Amino acid sequence: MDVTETDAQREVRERYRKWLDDFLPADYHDRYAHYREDWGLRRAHQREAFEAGWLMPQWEPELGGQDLGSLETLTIRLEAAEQAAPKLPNIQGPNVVAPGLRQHGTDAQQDRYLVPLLRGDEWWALGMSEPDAGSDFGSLRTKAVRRGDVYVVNGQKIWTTQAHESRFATLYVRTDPEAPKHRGISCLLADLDSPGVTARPIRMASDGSDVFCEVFFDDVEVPVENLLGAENDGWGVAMASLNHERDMIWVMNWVDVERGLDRAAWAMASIDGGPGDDLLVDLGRRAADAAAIRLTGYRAVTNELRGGRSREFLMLKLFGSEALQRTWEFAIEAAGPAAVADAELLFEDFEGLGATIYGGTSEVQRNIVGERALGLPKG
Amino acid sequence: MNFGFDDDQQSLRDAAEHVLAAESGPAVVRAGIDDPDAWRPLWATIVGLGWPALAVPEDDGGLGLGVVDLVALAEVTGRHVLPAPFLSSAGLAVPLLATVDTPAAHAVLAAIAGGTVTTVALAGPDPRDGDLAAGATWDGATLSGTKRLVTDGTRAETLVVTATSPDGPVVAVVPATRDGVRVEPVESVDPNRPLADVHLDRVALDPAAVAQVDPGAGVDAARTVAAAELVGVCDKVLEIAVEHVSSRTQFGRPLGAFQAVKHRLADVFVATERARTLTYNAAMLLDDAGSSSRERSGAAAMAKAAASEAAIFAAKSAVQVHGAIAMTWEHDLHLYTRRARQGALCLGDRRSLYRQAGQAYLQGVA
Repeated sequence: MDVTETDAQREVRERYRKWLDDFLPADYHDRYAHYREDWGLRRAHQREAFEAGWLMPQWEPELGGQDLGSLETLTIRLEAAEQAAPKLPNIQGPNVVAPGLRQHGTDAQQDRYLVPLLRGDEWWALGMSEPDAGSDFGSLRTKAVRRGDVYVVNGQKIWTTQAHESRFATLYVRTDPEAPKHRGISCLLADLDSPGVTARPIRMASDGSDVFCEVFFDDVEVPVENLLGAENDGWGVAMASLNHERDMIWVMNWVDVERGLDRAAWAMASIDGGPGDDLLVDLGRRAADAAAIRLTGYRAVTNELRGGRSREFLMLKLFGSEALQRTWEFAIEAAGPAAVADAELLFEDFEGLGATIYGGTSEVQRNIVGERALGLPKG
Repeated sequence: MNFGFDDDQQSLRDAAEHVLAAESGPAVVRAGIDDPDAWRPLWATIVGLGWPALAVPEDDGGLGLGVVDLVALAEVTGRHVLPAPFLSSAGLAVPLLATVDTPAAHAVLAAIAGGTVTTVALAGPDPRDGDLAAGATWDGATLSGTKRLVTDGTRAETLVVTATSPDGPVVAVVPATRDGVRVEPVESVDPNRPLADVHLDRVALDPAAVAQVDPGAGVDAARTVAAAELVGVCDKVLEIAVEHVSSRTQFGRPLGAFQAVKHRLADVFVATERARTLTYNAAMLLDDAGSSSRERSGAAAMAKAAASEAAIFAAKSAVQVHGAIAMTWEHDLHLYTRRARQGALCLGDRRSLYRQAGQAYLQGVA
């Protein structure tokens, strides 16, 4: 065991840090609230990160990387989080769709889609949830019927983040209505500019949230070569995609936990006579969550580098998202009753409610932990 | 950066698992609740295996290993609720004495390697008091006061006592049989880990047996080893619970297929791994000469707090998913529940340690 950074970790972290500092405007950290909404900056950041090999550090240079190992890659992801690097404008593209394309895509699909996606020129949506298929993803009903060289798609998706601004979607459809529900699903790379696609934004409860859409498919033709993975193997593609998503989400959660802790500590510093024991105890608990998320991530990665399978990966999304909610709740407690008029703080707390829903609810995550980490029987 | 045990540590764990499965099974542990001497043969075995000598410096006849090695072994002793005084001697006394570079301390370290049961007397009259030297006073010639809830206090031949003095905190080495020392047994929820209040009435000591040392660093290590033991308890009760709910059926299904049960055990898994990560982190920081004392004590406090919380939650959850049988003497779970409770409250309870971690966090950002 060794808690110290390896030379390779330090080297890439320092190199990344220098690149990021050179890229960011001088007043970025002082005016983070402003820059957070600066979409021009966020797009430029993604493009330049792609060119410099910091977007997908573990991949080859042509695909926005520099062939780093998994430990160094995690180091960069956490450093980016710690430095509050601009958020990717279409985060599910690089973090969920791109790894799925690499894992399941044909050479032609990878050649066509990866670079524009990674540069941020083409945005992607995840066409998974439906009005009657939320956590029970396997019961989706949007159907695709093969007709010559195309699939003809009819149905509806919902809660599809950024669909109205996205060019493509990984669209999960039922291709075999006779098969058991998990076995009749396929994944299509669907062009949302195709005739018959209607994406309607849904007004969010909170203005700052990424926008959901409902997306209707009315006799939409998708070329057969746009099948991702094998026909009727969409369940496997989806599960792999959810693994990538979980892997992305816990890092995002950790950043927010750290920000929530900073916010709470700032509020506690202004208490006359110093904070009481009750707040200090809770601060210690929440700080322990933050440390445990980050270090469990490292623990899982280094275990796998040593050749083992790490069960800890399975809990990070559950733990991170719930810790995030506890942290903002605590930040409100630390701020006291005046928090009722602190719109920014209340927004953070409200946004946090999504964390235990997107990417698979906490209830589903507990099933995953129970069944895959502990080996409990399926319900 | 690497959170895995090396081959030597893994071999030690495998060997310990093997030995304790054979010699520290539930029957032995249960016998220890009624028979105060049942632990002695097991102690002889583990002394023979060199466990108490693990972190004793090589010059004192030990193996010269570190906190990570103690943690590697303590997880296994926790799994088996080892009824012998390994934690007090090897996990508490050795790391504290290792911070005291005096001939008297080296002599005790050598004795521990040879099997002398030794413990640390830390808590003062108010065990909530964060002052690690509270309760006893050294005046240059005699030691007086009361130390409470001393782990393995009735078994220890040597006591390592923290005390105040006009020149700051001290760590004193006190033979338990010395005139003026009165060891008063205190009922322990875990009789395999007996407790005592130690009354010190002008105990005359050679000043060479008393060192001016802040006990903080040694206590950080002790807390981390205690945390590892609790993580081991978590592992074992979770295993027992998973086994039970996978085989026991009600309403035509295994209990573990019900989400109410599955989700609770998933939460136990999260709490356990949270505690394990923090414990490994603290152990590594303690073995790393480059870490700061603030980092170490914050990490040790977090580890012990998290492990205390996890062990109680794990034990109670295991009882709950077992139902009525878990309330019986015959079932093994109470053996682990006892150890979880005892371990969670000794060397700082979770509230006081989380508070300490909270203070360390504020100092870090200030």
